This record gives sequence, C-alpha cells and structure tokens, in this order.
Amino acid sequence: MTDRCLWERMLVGGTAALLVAAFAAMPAWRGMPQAAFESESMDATRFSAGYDAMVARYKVGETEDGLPIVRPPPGDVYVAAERWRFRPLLELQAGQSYRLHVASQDILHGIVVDGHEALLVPGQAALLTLTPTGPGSMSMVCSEYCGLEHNKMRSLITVLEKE
Amino acid sequence: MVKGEAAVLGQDAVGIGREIEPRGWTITGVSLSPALRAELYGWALLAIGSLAMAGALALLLVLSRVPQTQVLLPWSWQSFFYTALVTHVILSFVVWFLAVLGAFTVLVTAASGGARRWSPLGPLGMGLSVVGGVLLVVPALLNIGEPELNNYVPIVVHPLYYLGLALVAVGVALAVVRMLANPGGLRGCVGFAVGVAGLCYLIALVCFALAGLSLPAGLDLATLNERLFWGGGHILQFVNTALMLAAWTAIAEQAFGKPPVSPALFRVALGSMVVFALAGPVFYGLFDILSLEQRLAFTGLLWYGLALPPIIVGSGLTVMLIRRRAEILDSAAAQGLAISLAVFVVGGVMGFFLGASDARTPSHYHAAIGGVNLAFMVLFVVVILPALARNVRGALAWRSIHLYGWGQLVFSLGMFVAGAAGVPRKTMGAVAQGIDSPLKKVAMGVYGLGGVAAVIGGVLFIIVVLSYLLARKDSAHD
Repeated sequence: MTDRCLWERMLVGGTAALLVAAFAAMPAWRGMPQAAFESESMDATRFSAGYDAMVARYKVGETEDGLPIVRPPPGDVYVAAERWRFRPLLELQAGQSYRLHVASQDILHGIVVDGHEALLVPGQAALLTLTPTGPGSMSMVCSEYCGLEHNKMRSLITVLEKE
Repeated sequence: MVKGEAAVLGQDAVGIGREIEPRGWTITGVSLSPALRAELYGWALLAIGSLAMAGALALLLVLSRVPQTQVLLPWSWQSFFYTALVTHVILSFVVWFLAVLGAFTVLVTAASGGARRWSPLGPLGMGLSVVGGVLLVVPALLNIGEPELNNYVPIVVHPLYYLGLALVAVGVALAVVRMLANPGGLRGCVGFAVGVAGLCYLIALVCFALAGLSLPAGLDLATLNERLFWGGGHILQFVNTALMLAAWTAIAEQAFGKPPVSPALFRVALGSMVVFALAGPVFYGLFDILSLEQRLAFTGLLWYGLALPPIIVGSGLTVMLIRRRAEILDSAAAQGLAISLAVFVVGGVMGFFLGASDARTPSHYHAAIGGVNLAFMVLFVVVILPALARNVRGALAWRSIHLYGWGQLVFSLGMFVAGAAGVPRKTMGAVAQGIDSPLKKVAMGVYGLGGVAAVIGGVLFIIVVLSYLLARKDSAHD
C-alpha cells in the first residue's frame, strides 16, 4: 500500500468516524436543558389579576403609544406578550431577584431574555427567575414568527443601579 | 456509457460529446437527446425566469418605497410591499434552487444512458413546475392574498399561490423520481451529489406532509405557515448544500479534470447528509409540532449535519485551487469556482458569530446563499448552456459573475460589521436601524456599495443567459 493510499484511507475513516460521532451525540444535545424557563399553570384570569395589580401599584410613567412603564419591587413580575409587543416596559434593579411570569395574550409567541428562551403557548405562562447583574439594559425578543411585524416585537428592560 | 451503446437506446439515448474519463461518470460533456434537451431547456428557463421575475419584483419593491414613484404603481404600496417581498423570496430562494435540481436530474439521467424507465415523468415534472412557477407570481401581480413572512417558504395566503407551490413541489419530485429510476448516472461524484439532493428533497416533502397532518385546526395563519414549513424548510437546506457541492464538483471536473476529493471521501461526506436528513421525519414523532424542542431539534440538525460535508469538499477544493493556481488566471471556470468558495466560506464563518436579532444573521445567509448562487451561475455557463448547444463566448458572462461575487462579499461583510455594531435585522430607515455611530455609518455605506455591485452583476448575468437561452441554438452568438 502506498503512503498516499494509506493517508486517503485514514482521511476517509477519520471523517466517517467524526460524522458517526456527531450523529451518535444527537440524543445528548437533544436532551440538554435549553432554557431556565419553567412552565407554570396559570389561567388567564389569575395572570390578568397579577398584571393589573402590578401596573396599578408600580407604574411610573407611560410611553407615547400608551405602554405603561413599571418599576416593580423584587418578587413577582408579569409580562404580557401580544402582537407585536411585550407589555409593560420594565425597570428593574441590579442585583435583585425577580420571578418573571410571561404569558401570550393571543397566538404562539416566543421569548428570549438574558440568553434563556421559552415558547409562549396561549393559556400557559412561562416562569423565569431573573437577577440583573448590573445597570444598563436587557433585551426581550420574540423568537417565534408571529406575523408581519414579528421582528419589531422586542422590548428593553432598563436595569437601574441598586438603591 | 460509450457511443456505441447510446446508439441503440432509441430517442432518449445520449451520445457522448467528449470522451468521459474512465473513473469520471461526469455530467460535463454529455450530449442530450432532443427529448432530454427540451426538458433541460424548460428547467433552465424556469431557473433564469425566476431570477428575472424576482429581480423585477425587487425593482418594484424599491419603487413602491419611494414617494415620487409609489404613486405611479397601480396598487397601494403598503399592501403590495409584503406580497411582492414574499414572491421575490420564493422565486430567488426556492424556485431558482429547485429548478437547478430539475436541470441536474436531466443531466444525471442523460449520463445514465437516458430515461429508459418512467421517461414521461421528466417532461411532466418540468411542465408542472413551470406552470406552478407562473401561478406563484399571479397573487403579487394582482395584489391579492395575505402575505406571511414565515421562515424558509414564505407564503401569500391565496389558493393560487398554494397551488403554484404544490405544482412546483410535485413537478420537481417527479423529475427526482425519474432520475432515481435510471440510476446509472448516480455513480459519478456529481451524480452522487445530485442523488443525495434528490433524496433529501423527497425527505423534505415527507416533513411537510407530516407537519400538515400534525398541526391542530384553528391555528393562526402565522403559526400555521411557520410550523408547516419549519422542518421541511430545514431539510431543504441539505438539498441546497448538496446541489452546491454537485455544482462545485462539476465545475472542478470541467476546469481541472477531476473532483475536489477522492470519490470515496466524497461519498462518505455527501452520504451522511441523507442520514441526518432522515432524522427530520423522526422529529415529528418525538416532539410536539408546536413545541420549542421540535424547533430546536431542526436547528440542531443543521449544526450537526450540514457543517462537515462542505468543509470536506471545500477543503479539497482549496487544496486543488492552491496546487493548480498557475492555471486559475487562464480558466474563467476556476476563477468562478474560487469566488463561490470564498463567498460561501465567509458566510459559513459568519454563522459562528450570530447575534440574537441583529444584521449578522442576514449577513451570514446572504453570503452563504451568494456562494451557492455563484456556483449555479458558473454551472450555467460551463455546463448547462453548452449542453443546450449554446456555448458562451465573450467575457460579459464572466464579468457579471465577478461583479456579483465581489459585490456579495463586500455587501455581506458590511452587513456583518453593522450587525456586530448593533444594527437590527429586517428594519428600514436610519432612525429605526439606530445608525448613530461612525462605525455603523461606514459599515452601512460599504454594505450599500456591495449591494449595488451585486445587483448590477446579477442583472447582467440574467440578461446574458436569457439572451443565450432565447436565441436559436447552434452557435447563435458566434
């Protein structure tokens, strides 16, 4: 067997082994946790009650198009996803922990926040414990196509310095 | 296949225009029977016609955004914009690629000694696809239907559009089945790659069917179309990649007389794509169709299954181009191959640095698709037009390919830098895009310049190839 032939066989064998390894590893990556979101059973009435109470108590302003700006204390925070926005606009404090309850109000949406992703199935809520690390902003983006304005469905969480 | 055999095969038999290399089973150099030539002509017209129509719609899209010209259009620009955008994408991203698959099936069938089995499927498939391609355009021109910008196969919700899509899908499937029924041509590297593309295409259709059967009633149209085309749309990327590797190999055989890597390595690399694609239908049994897990599984399939084959063939091609660099200056085909490889590699590398929702994502797929487009453009000049007895003369076709290629490279790099600096994707206008820093302004300027060059190159290419296709054959351009 010539050197060239040997090298070619090693290359073919090595490539085949790599491909098989990648294929065999599929259950591992499929089973890996993809998000820190948990699913929670929360009916629409309970979610709306929590949302309305939060906005009523902690609203600090409003955007030009009527979106409430809310600065809630650490604890439960409610975010509604609907075509094509997240409401309210949140102002959170760095270093504090918040339990973010997110629920779709109309059709299937997705949410990516702080590198975590969840699908927002109507009638269910997704729960994420969020601890902003420093002042600045965090983006909240819809990750499931939901109509022509899908790419505009994004919101910025303002992170304030710890008081 | 030798001349003597071809002579006894009747109307669909092929002659060999040039001696085929003993190990080659190459598709370059095959001469076609009149029936197969007519089929190839139909696919070529559908491919270039799709690009031409996509270009015309892109022009109308621009006119519809300019206040001075939008009043001249017979439609309300707001409703026309998205319908035309969807049609532009389906023609330039789906129909163009699938028509190249159709053309490839004819060449591979010819290399196998002609369509001895199930021969009517070929012309029937081509005819259905052409009718389907025409129907896809009708809603945009009449400004009817509701547009949906869902991933991979964007939709105009109108019966004519769905019918057009179904006819194209079935037509290409018939051409693939006819090719698989005459498998002799699949033995060469190019034929093997086209066979892989064909099998992956059939798997994509199975995914679409499984999705259609799994989706619950009463879904919103956005969710319905997104999830209907999500899985199969991912598998179509295996088809596109296999077609690009087939085109690279056909051009390499033409320019350098051999495939980029050994046939054994080529088969392992390409064969793996079918294995990965076969996981697609299984996902419909494993995961709920509306789940995050199913969406991520298909994304993972691309990460795991689609990276190695182009890396292997592209590496071989790189080694080949370096070793034969002295010949590149004298070979327009080799130059086209090098540009296609460079643009695709840049797109591939960009894929490892994507942001959540900024312009780096479109920069990645514009470069990757640009590399595929360039491979097909060169394929038209060196394989498809000569097979139709239309040998390209003069430098205009090659200049258009260079202009498109370099333009696409600059355009993508500009978009990538802009995205890295924070410019969001799919937004328009300086305010909405947040173009507020010198870096963003320069990047967007570079992006614009590259885009203009790519558009001019693309338009020139379409004009040149259409002029050859519409002229009479037999040295019409002498």
